[in-house]
Amino acid sequence: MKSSFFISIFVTMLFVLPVQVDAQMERKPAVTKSPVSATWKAPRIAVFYSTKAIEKNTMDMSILHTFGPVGDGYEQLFGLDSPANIRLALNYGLTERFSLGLGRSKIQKNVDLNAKYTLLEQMTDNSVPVTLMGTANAGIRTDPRAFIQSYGIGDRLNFSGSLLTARKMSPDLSLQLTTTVSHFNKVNIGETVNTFFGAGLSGRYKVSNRTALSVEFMPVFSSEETNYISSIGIDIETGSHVFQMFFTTSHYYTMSQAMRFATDFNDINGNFSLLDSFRFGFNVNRIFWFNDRGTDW
Amino acid sequence: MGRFNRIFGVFLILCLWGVNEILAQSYLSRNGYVEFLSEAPQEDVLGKSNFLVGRISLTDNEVDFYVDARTLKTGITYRDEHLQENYIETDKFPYAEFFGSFTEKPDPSSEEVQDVKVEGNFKVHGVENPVTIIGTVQFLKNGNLYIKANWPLQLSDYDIPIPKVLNYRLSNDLTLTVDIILEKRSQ
Repeated sequence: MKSSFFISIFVTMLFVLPVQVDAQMERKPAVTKSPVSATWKAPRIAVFYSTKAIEKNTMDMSILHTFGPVGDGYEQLFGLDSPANIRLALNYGLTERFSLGLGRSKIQKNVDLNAKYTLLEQMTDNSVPVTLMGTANAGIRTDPRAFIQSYGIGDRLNFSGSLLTARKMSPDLSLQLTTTVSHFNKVNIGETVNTFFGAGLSGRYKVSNRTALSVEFMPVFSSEETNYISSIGIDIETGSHVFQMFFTTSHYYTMSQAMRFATDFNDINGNFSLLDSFRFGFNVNRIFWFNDRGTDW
Repeated sequence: MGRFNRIFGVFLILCLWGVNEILAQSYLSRNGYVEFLSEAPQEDVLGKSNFLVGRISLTDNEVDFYVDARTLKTGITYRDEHLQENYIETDKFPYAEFFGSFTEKPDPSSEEVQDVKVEGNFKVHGVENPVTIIGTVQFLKNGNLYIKANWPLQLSDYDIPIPKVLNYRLSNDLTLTVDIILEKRSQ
């Protein structure tokens, strides 16, 4: 008797409950699988390339500076007065995955053509756990100084190729493995090594919405010795600019030059000195977009 | 007594089942269009998504809309990343949503375009504000419901500050537009 009443209440509940749940729809993600965004904000970490792609019809203009060693002291304003290396570069995205760039470095007046190609993109559902990118760089030293004049065109060429493997570990932390080989067709008398190998680690850690710390470190192996490229810095972004300020051991920006002229952490007397190894540098990256894609995609 | 209970129970079930049937006659879509437009002196930004989810129940007088803010695209990935990370903070607050009701329910027997007013709460960036939105509804011949509306939104009301020193500009005053055909629920 009573039980039938409870059963009818129970059955009634079965009909009523779904209606109550319906009141406000459950919020569900529209897309469960998409490429992970913002692993890096700039096309470079400091000196190394990052897996940041220059997307289709956008151009990255970068102005890169490294100064003299901090150890040059107060008289040289801690390296700022010392000879700087300046690299100006333009990179243009031909497709979403492929970009071409042209750059020129002050030291050795090295003009280089470079390319980036995204092979794989890390996906939010981890179906692809890493982003893979291949980069290539071909440079020619156009320095007119006497000893270089005896170099033929082929002798002035240098090449580098890298495979970048990056993973955004969390919204704040991104890591990258950079494996690189670079080659100079001819090196100066006294230098015997033409080909260099490197395997480097880089990281970015977001400290606020617009700032991040970045580090990179690469041992450079050649048949004679092992040297290092390392940098530590801070990235500040504003929506169309990314400013990168850092201390680095490399005076050079193209991977081939950076690897060939990589150093140990010693001063000229062979004594360990971080001040004489590291120099201040900054990159300004400006992104331009050429079509107002906001109104016509 | 027992017999009365049984009859009462069956009657109750039938009543509520009937109510449930009426409630089920709501309107739903998961691929509506929504956009935001920012007109700043230096730059216009138009963000669009075709993932607007909307549900309207005339019986309950419920108007329920939301969009996964990560699907809003301005055409430039770099700018999208910046908007999502630094303004909307989609990692923490993935949805922009509205829940409210008609001040006066539209007439489903008319096929004309009808002006409607909806009152409720709009929520984005984890901040909820009461809003009144004026739009139009039209009951289409095939039984579906066509809805259009646009209304202004101030980012400052939703705790989204715009730094003064920002050379790519975003206006504090946005215009939101929705354009969606809700399908009559079949069940």
